[in-house]
Order: sequence, then structure tokens, then C-alpha cells
Amino acid sequence: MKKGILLVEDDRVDVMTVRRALKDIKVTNPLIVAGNGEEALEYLRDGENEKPGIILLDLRMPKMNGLEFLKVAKQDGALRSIPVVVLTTSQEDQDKVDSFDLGVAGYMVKPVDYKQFVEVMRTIDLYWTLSELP
Amino acid sequence: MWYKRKAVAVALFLGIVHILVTHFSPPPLTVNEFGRAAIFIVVAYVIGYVSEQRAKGENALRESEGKLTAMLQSIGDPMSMIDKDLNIIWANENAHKIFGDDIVGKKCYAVYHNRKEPCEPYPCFVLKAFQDGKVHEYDTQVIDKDGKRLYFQRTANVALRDNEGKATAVLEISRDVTERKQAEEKQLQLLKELETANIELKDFAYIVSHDLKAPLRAITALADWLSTDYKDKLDEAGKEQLDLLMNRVRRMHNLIEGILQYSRVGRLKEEKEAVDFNALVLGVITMINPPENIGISVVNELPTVVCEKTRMEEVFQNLLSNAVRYMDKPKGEITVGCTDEDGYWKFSVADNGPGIEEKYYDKIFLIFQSLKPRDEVESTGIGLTIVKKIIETHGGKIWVNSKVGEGSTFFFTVPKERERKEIKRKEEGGSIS
Repeated sequence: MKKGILLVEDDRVDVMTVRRALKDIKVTNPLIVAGNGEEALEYLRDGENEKPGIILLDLRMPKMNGLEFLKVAKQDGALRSIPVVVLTTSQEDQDKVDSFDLGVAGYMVKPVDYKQFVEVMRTIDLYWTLSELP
Repeated sequence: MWYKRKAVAVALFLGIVHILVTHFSPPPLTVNEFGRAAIFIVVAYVIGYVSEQRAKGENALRESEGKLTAMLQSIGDPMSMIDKDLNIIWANENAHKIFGDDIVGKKCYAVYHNRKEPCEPYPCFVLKAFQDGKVHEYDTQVIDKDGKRLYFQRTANVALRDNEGKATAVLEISRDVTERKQAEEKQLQLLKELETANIELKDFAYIVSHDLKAPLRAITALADWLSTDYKDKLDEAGKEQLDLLMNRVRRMHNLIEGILQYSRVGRLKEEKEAVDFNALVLGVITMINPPENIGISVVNELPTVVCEKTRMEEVFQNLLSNAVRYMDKPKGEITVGCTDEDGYWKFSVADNGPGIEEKYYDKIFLIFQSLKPRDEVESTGIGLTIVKKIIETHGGKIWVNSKVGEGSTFFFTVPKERERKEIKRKEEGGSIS
């Protein structure tokens, strides 16, 4: 069975966008959705669940935002090695610096245009397929 | 008093002489008797001399005391003398004026600080002065007789000592620094407000970029899916409306980006460096990649100026792409030039485009102002506003000269500030996007 993709995102339309884009580029891995950092940690720490192959992380979320999630996840030996790609609206340099400081594998800015968004997803898929993972 | 003592001494002296003359002569004085009389005389003389000298000294002391009191009384700074039990035992005129006529005999903490107990932290500076005999300087807040709060800068120092040298009174000299203190406080307050405003502005930019853009993205995505998923069910009018919807969303997005860009100028400063404008302009022209019918040329050698490079690129990028975008002639000619003026460089970007009516010369630099309907030329109207802000933060000016139908020339100045080459301007918490 293919490894899952964990999407940490609170906006329903953004979730639909990712789901649709994955379908468009014919990625069939199961998509698991967590509404914020806390939910994501809960899922990841539940022994019943298989660890995802990649985490797509929004930064701006209620309860526990993306950077807060990264701080916790990168401290956790069991979660540290899962590659995280930030998927955000923020073009602020500070967010980029903070994300890479916390060991993310990539930082993608969500384009307004859906077709461009599909290209972003294609890039992530390509990276994920080509890059050797532990 | 002294003359009384002197009179007594003289009388005594004369008395003794008188007794000696009348009672003991004749018969003639014995040596013993003579000696005794001499001792009397000497004693009387000494008494007279001592009392005279003492009187002289007391007089001088009283005189200097009087001078000193007058001086202390009339000094503009409030002063008071305080004993070991913290009672005010003396106060000058100014202290009375500020704290009341009846303060002598009262406790200093009651008069100055409206307290029932001695001041905290204990011991206070007056008590410390009693203990160590040193001069203590400190700032304190006092309450005057009308209940008004005043700021005093004070010195406490031992003023009186008893025979054994133990301190018996401490003199407090105060200076009213209320005005200065209030000015300082006001300045501090303003600084704090400014800091808050800056943080708020940063937060605002963040909120705008994240929270306002997110729903827009959702709207475009949904509109896009509607037009793809329901292609068969939509007629031409429906498709056109969806297209217009997406177009407006994109415009909204550009406006938000424009505001963000505008707020970054001045908020984020990059380090100034020596910039070769020949290379800079060539780079911008390559980036704009003008269509074949429009030529952009540099008419003379451009200078090297110390400035923020990316900002200057933005200036040329905006001016040149405006000239390209609005070009209405079949063969467009755009020229960049520069002249050496006194103290500054004057750059120019000239085109042979449609030109601008004189009444719009100021309006074009205002935020979100565009002279063309947006549907004709897609533009936010932020470009020239940003250009103006950049030029002005560099200490220069920008203006336009134009002839309708023949073209426009934008001029801007950049001061030659070689001496400020080393100044590094960085803003905390800033980031360059």
C-alpha cells in the first residue's frame, strides 16, 4: 500500500484544492487531513495509524499553527524524519527562515490561480518521488 | 553685652587701684601686698580682655549666621533641616511656600510624602546620612500642599553635630525637576506608542498577506472548478461571468499585493551600497523584455550612486514598464538619461507615448490612481506611488513633464551622499521580500 500524505490545513477549500490537484496529477496515495497542529500530532502519535510519507503543512491555523507544530514534531524522534513541506500564503521572509530553521524539506507559496497550484503540487510530487528518504 | 563686661572690668580695675591707694598708703606697701595687687590687676585685665574678645567673636558669629540664614531663606531651592526622629526643625522660605507655613515640627515623611510611616525602603536617605555621615543624592516624588505631585532631585547631608561629633540634623536640599521629568515621561510614552504602532503595522501587513488572500484564493479555485466541472451546463454568458469573477479576484489580489509592497518601502530598509546605474538600468530593461516595436535606450553615461539597490531597481522597473504598457505609437521610443546637478543627480525617463494632461500631474502619484479604465489596461495604480515613496525616502524629488499626444518625461533626483556611505540602516524584526 502506498504511504499516506498528511495534509495539515484548516481551510476546507484549500483541502479541496490539494485533493483535486493530487487527482489531476494522478497521485493516488491516501490523503489524511488534520485541521491544525494538535490534530496532526494526535494522528501521528496514535500507534494505530501508519506514519505518512510526507506532511504538507499550512502555517496559519487555529489552536496550534504550523511553526508550533514543527517545534514539537522536530523534537520527537519518531516524527523527526518525516519530510515536511510548508504550503502557505505567506511570502514573509521571516516565515521562510523560521520554517527552514525548523528543518522543513521545502517551502511553497500557494498561488491564487488553481492551475499554478497544480504545478506546485506536481513539483512536490516530483521532489518526493526523486528524493531518497530514510 | 560686651561693653557691660568691659565696664565691669574697668570698674574692678579702678576699684582695686582705689583701695590700694587709699587704704594701704601710708604706710608704704609691702612687697607681699604689692604682689597681691598686681595679681588682681592682671586677673581683672585678663577678664576684661577675654570678655572683649569673646564678645567680638560672638558678634562675628551672629553676623555670619545672619548672612547664612538670609541666604538659605532666599535660595530658590526648597531646603529643610531634619532631626534624628525625622522632625522638620527648620525650613527655608521656598519649602514653606511649597509645603505650607506650618511644616516645622512635623514629620518629614508626613509633610513631603503624605505618609503615616517613615518612607520605604527603610532606612531612608536622611537616616542613611545620619548613619554614615556621607552626602546622599536621590530622586523622589513629593506631594505639595495642594496635593500636586512633584519630582525632586535631593541631596541629604549632615548639617549639625553635637559636642561629641555625632550628627544631630541633616539638611535636605531639593531641586524641582517636575517639568523635565514630565517631558521625559511624555517622550517615553510617545516612544512606546510609536513602537506599538510599528508592531501593529507589521502585524497588519501580516494579516493582510495571510488572511485576506486566503479567501480570494478559495474564490478563484471554486470559480475555476465551476467553469471546468460544469462546462456543458454553462452557456456563453455564464462562462463570461465566471471569467469576470476570476479576473476581479485577481485584481483584488494585486491590490493587496500593492498595499503590501507599498508598506514594505520605508518599513524594510536594505543596506545602501554603491550602485552602477548603467548595469542596473540594463538589468531592468532585460527583465521587462519590451516588445520589438518599442526601443529603450540609455542616452548618456549613468553615474554610480550610493543607494538601496533593489529599491532603485523598483523605480526603473515601474517607470519603464509604465512607458511600455501605455505606449500608443507604432514605434515606441523610451530614453533614460541623467544630468549632474549641484549636490544631486537628475535622472529622466522619457517616452513618446500618449502623454499626461497637466491637471493629472499630481494625481498620478496618488495611491491606486490610474488614468485608464482598469479593463483597458490592467493596473493597480500603485506603481508610481511606490516610486514616489522610494525617491522621497532617499531624499529626492519626482515630477513629470508631458505634452498630450507627444509623450511624457519623468524626472527624479537622487542626492549624492558619499559621506553617508558607511551608514548601515537596519530595522529590527524587518525582512526583505
